Amino acid sequence: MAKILRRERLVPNLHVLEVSAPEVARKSLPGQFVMVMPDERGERIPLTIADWDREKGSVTAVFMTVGTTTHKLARLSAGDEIPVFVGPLGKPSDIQNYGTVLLAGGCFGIAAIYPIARALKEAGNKVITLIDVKAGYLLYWEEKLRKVSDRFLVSARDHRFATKDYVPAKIKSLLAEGAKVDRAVAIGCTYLMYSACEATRPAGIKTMVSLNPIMVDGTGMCGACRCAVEGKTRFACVDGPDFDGHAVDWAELFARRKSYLDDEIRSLCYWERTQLAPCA
Amino acid sequence: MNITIDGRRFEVQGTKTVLEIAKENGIYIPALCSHPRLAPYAACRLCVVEIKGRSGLHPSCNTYPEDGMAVVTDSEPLRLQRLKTLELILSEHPNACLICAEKEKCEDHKASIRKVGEVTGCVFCPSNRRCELQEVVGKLKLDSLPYDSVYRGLEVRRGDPFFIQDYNLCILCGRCVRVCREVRGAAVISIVRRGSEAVVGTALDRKLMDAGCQFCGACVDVCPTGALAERASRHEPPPDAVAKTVCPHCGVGCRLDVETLQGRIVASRPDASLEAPAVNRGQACVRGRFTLRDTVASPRRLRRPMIRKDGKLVETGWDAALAFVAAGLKPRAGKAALVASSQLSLEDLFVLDLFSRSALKADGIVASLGPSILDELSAAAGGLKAPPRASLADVAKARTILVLGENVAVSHPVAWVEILDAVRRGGRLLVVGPKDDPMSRHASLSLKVRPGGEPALLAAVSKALLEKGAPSGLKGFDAFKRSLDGSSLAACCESAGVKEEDCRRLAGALAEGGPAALVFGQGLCGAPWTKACVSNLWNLALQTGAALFPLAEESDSFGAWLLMRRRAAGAPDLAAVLRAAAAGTLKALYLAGPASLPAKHGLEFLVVQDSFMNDSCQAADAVLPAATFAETEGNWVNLEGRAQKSMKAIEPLGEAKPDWWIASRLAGLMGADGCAFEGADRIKERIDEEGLLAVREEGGQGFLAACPPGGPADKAGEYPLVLLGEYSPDYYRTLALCQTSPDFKVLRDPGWIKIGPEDAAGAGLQEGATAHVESSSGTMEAVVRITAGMPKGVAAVSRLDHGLSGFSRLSAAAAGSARVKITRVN
Ligand SMILES: Cc1cc2nc3c(=O)[nH]c(=O)nc-3n(C[C@H](O)[C@H](O)[C@H](O)COP(=O)(O)OP(=O)(O)OC[C@H]3O[C@@H](n4cnc5c(N)ncnc54)[C@H](O)[C@@H]3O)c2cc1C
Ligand code: SF4
Ligand code: SF4
Ligand code: SF4
Ligand code: FES
Ligand code: FES
Repeated sequence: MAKILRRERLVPNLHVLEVSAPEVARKSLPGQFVMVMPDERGERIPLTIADWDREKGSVTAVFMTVGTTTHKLARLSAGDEIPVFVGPLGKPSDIQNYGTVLLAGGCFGIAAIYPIARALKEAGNKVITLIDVKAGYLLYWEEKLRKVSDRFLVSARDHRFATKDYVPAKIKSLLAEGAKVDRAVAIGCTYLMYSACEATRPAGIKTMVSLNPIMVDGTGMCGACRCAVEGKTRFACVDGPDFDGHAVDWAELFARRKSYLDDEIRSLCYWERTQLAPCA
Repeated sequence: MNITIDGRRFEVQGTKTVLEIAKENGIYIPALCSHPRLAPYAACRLCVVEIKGRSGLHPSCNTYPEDGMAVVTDSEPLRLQRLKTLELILSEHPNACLICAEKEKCEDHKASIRKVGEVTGCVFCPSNRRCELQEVVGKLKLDSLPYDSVYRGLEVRRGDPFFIQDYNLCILCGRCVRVCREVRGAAVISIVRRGSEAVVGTALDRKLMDAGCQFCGACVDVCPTGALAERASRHEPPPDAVAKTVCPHCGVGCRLDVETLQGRIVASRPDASLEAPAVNRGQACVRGRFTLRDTVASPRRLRRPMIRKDGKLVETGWDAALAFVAAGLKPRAGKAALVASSQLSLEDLFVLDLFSRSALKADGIVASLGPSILDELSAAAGGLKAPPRASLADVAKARTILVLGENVAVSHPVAWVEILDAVRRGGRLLVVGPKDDPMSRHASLSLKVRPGGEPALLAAVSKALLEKGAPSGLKGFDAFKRSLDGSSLAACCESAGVKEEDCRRLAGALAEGGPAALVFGQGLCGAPWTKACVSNLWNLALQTGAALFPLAEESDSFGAWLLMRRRAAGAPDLAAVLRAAAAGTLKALYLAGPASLPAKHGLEFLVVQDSFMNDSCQAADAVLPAATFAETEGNWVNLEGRAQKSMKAIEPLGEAKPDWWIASRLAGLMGADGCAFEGADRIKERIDEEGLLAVREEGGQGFLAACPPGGPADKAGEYPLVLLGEYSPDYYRTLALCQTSPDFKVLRDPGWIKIGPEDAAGAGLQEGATAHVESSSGTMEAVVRITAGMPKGVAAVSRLDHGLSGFSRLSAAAAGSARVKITRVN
């Protein structure tokens, strides 16, 4: 059992979850994740650790409501207890002084890149943060990120930013204007990570992505999270989740993420109809 | 007259708007607030056009042609103006995906995250790829916006069954508000607050449920955006196939588009066509719109044949099951009956009827619902060959409409829509019944009679009309007149429980001329006063020249009636069948329709053929899984007597087979001739060869003897309340809709007892409490729903027994009502 200290909606569909888990907080490193279960009957899902406070003994994650389990999480509030909150799992991200590192994040990835940006900055890198949002009202943690970034950029489809860009366009223009980038990291939806990799590929910039295949146990036992990297089968939960994005078989990953779509849709519809008012 | 649009000449009538004329001729004008079923509103301003010789821009949805008018639909100023208008509409609408260059690729890859709770872009939206706003953006080639994106941040409203309201997506086109008021007569929603605060809502911000919403879904279907979305399917991608079907629920026979995805039903919507042959003109009701998906996929579905072995039902294959059933039925031929649901297709019923005659040596099928209103009418009129027929279109054109014995708004909601159409055209609605219902709000006269007082009121109206003079020369008139001599108008009115002056007003309205329609339904059936009521209506129709409009209750009641009138000895009901079983004259029963028969009632062999596991399976010797309406094709004969073809939407679940197929195969095994069919088409050809549907109206039938008051003696005594057994149409075959749809359970449940606030308080009953109901012949329990329209001394439960209502236990003799007392269960 772990106690929730905070559960708030940051922007539409994205919630922050802070949980009291001193053991996890003590060992957390950038790029690692936790497995969470909102109730005894639910599924276990992986969430990236977005921040931690070793003194307070708390761990923070940001999640997007995309299905039954995340919708259940979004209905919990401070004081509630959840049966499973285990971690940290997965290999931490590589943190060295690379020179200039470009960090691209979208959706929950905006939060997920935060600890990586902080660590890279501490390691002496120049950090360029590139956030993708559909619209300005979906932007969160801007101040937090600016503090650990040397440059802060936004790509959006919103008049407020006077552009109508998506991540790859921003990366391309950044490179075109002569910015020297030694390494890149992209976290967010699969499509964002894939597009970022495609944009850095011509310039040969090594780009790390945090893969998000379906995970069940998160400890290398079930095989659910298998992905193909450099033609080899890897278990994202123990061999990753960070991989070299240029070596990932994206087509396979897209297909696998969709494999249970039909069941997931029915599961969510059923849950919404039976658990959300008025039929509950 | 002649007009030109963009230089093209058109000959037009002047009844259609410029927008409609353009659309019919393939000229595109963007339009978001207009809708073919609704009066012009001219709010979105996208449809503006130029008219030569007039200054300014004119909304084409609100402009009617004039001779010589020259319209321009496309010009630089128009394009600019429309873009500006669209930009404003989108300034508070999630617009990123609309203008995003990556949309298509992203959509493909983001399938897995479409299921978010708040829609911040098209890829997350339930309307994606069927959205009218998207279409307009595409047509006008808008690709950027001069405004910062704003998310209104209104809470997504999930507090109601069936659909979710996300007004962050609303563009205030007002279609939902207008369809609810103009077409459905419900006026549940309106645009509340003003200016930038404007939003669609209910009075006092109540839930739709509490504001009188019937969940007809009309608002959902006219909404051009994703603001209103069906809860059960809102995360589903668009369908990959659509089948044109006929709703299996009520006699209207609404045409429905059943949408499927990989062989599974995802949704059903009314066929959008406004022209004949679509009877429903784009409308449906909660049953057709929101329950079919759950019904067909119900966990109660029977998937494999079962036969009883050593006292237990065991699954088996078709060959073994059919052989077993044939062997059980054959020796009992001549002592067997077949009961069928009038929700089956005409083809199914036709073959079941043949089978019952040729193989079972019975007198044809018996309808499980019991006598339909068509039976009652033909019985009263001494054996009609065909009921007088009116069409829904006639009803919509009537000047005066009397509704009796049925809450049409619930039983036949789309017939109600046509009645409202008549009211909107200046027609007068007269409502007669024992309780207040939502129809009264639209009535120019609404008379509350005491339960069972209907025949007395009708006799009184006939009397009042006689005073005004009467048609003469019709057969039986003198006898009719004499039959009314015995009682005075005052006595009739007193017996009906209405004021004499109200009765005269009703008579006056009916006599006033213009086409009139007398609409009546199943609510009258089964009560001891049914015959009196129907005879008196018949006479009233002759006196006033009004059309009789019997509301055939089930989707194929008319078809079943056509078949059953061929019976040698009238139509017995299920009760008669069970009496024969108890008396030992009936040995085998073939049940292809709802009847709660958990025990064998003296039968030796019971076969249940159905789509759903039900009570009767407990006693059955064999259970045969039948396909549902969506899994077979066939015709359903609606209340106008019109056969409508319904297509197959999906393959039958499991090993289920069409009803006709099962009967046809059994007949073959039992050595009966003439039942071998290979497809529904062949059966229909045979039906046409026999001229079953070619029924003509009977002329020359004269007046009947009037049935003056008498009615049941009103002794309160030990049982102070009259309990009405209402016809509740919320079932498909043996499945009650509340058993399969969690949403429907909130709306209506046959396990409820409706009681007025005063009586409830008197008995110490709270909303939702369990009530113990007792009559001289039995008891039942029901959940209390305090209902404002119930008069003092009257309560109501569902009459139909799906094992959920115990009404039959309370009213051994009279099925229409019972005297009861109600106490609280602690
Ligand atoms: C290492 C890792 C870290 C992640 N970090 C975050 C995060 O910080 N914030 C966040 O919002 N999301 C994160 N995700 C994705 C998150 O786990 C899924 O969105 C979540 O499991 C969805 O569950 P659901 O029941 O709500 O939705 P479902 O309806 O079950 O699924 C929605 C979609 O999520 C994916 N998914 C479903 N189950 C799993 C699972 N067990 N493991 C992985 N993906 C699944 C599928 O592609 C599916 O199509 C991460 C995933 C991985 C593998
Ligand atoms: S309503 Fe239409 S335009 Fe708006 S988000 Fe939904 S699909 Fe896109
Ligand atoms: S469902 Fe029907 S009754 Fe309810 S708000 Fe919509 S249109 Fe009105
Ligand atoms: S909810 Fe839909 S139909 Fe109603 S006003 Fe808004 S956009 Fe129009
Ligand atoms: S989640 Fe089971 S092996 Fe990785
Ligand atoms: S369609 Fe004419 S103003 Fe909206």
